[in-house]
Amino acid sequence: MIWSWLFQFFISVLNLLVGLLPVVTDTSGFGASLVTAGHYIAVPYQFVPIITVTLLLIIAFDITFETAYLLYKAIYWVIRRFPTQS
Amino acid sequence: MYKLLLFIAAVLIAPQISFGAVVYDVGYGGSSINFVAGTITNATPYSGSPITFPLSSSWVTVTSPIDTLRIHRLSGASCSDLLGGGSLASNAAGTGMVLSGHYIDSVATVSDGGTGDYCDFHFHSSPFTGGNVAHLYLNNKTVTLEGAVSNGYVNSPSNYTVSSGAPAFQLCDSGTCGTFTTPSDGIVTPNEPTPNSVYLYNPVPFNGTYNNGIDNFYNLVQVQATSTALTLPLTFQYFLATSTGSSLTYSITDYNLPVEGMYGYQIRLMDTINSVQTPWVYGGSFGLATTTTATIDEYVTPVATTCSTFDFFCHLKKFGIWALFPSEGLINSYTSLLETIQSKPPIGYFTIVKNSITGLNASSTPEVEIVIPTQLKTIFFDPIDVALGSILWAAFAFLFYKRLKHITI
Repeated sequence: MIWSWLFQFFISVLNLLVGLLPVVTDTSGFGASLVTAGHYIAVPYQFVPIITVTLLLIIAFDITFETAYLLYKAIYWVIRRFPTQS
Repeated sequence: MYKLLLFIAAVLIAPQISFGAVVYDVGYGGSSINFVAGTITNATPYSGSPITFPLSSSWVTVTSPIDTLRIHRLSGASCSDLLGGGSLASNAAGTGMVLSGHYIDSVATVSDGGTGDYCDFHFHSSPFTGGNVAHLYLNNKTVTLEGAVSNGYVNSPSNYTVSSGAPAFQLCDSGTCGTFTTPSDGIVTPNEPTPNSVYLYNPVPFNGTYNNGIDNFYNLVQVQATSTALTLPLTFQYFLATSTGSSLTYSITDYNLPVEGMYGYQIRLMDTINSVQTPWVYGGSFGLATTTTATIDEYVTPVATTCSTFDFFCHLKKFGIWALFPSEGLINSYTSLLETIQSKPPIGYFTIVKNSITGLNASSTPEVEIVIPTQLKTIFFDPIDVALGSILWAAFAFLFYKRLKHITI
């Protein structure tokens, strides 16, 4: 009961704040482009599936890793811009 | 193998090993089966082969004078109702139970002192010797017999083959038939699903106990479940009986039933190594509210227990649940918040990408169809695929390690 009241309050506040943001939609056709890419990728997958999957995984992992690293660098750069007590 | 030997022994030396004046006793009935109740009567798990007593579709020769057929009736139609008119036994030659031209012409009901009656069917012009025991048909009567299939489920002429060890009936000479022995092997007692229960989620647990004595059932508990929404019964078997003893337990907890609605189910044990199986035991009917599979994310309310006055820990537990356990409304609010966050920036962008990627699958229609001879693929492309794939992974590992060396935190 106690936790219910507390969490209900926090969730309500968060709902209010997040609700002010706009909804993200796929207007650029990103999803459709991935589907089309999937049709083309299915061609080499027919006769070299391991190579196809390996390349896709490596590229996806690399993009994810570098994006995460860049995001970390960017956030840390922003944090360092805040003045600290001296 | 054991069952076959016992079958032969029962036929050839029955007068020596049987009790009382029983000439032929197939007392491996086990639990009774009543298909009248529940939705399982709407489906037909068996087809074609007629019920044959005893055990196989071939004839059995009895070598002692036969006077009486005894079956153990547990409920349903009375012994006299089973007599006559093409029913269980007939008073007309050529129908019902025949034995070398001797047909059943009367029946006596003998109380078993408890659960039901013994129906002693008397053969016309008995006793008689020799001859072959013919088929026994159950037609359009609702009765529960010990060890046999309930007639309520049988429509003439489509009857069922009773498997080895199943029926419990006796052929007796001019003396008194004996009491049916309780088999010690293969008795199945289903405990769950409990009759008339309703399950909110898959999987529905099937568990119970069984005896596994002389005949070790190497194979599995077989469960048949059916509902009005299914055209065929579901048969699934999961539990491997590897030990002997009484009150052994079986448990099937990972089978997801495909449709909602009411089910009936029955259980039996199988030994495919020795081609032995017990008779079906009807477990009852139950309902399934949804085919959704329950996960750990499903909200479950702790069971509210009633504490005795001086049970401190019980009261402490109840207080802990009241104080700390989140309400269902809170769980729903939290779930709703997560969904909202997934649709708003910045998380929403990742959600879109993730949904698009998960929508891809290996069975996507290729843009260009390339036909490759199977042998060419097997001999040429597959080895190259494996070799180059391994090289690629090794190169990735080496280059990623070099990349990590240049990472600065």
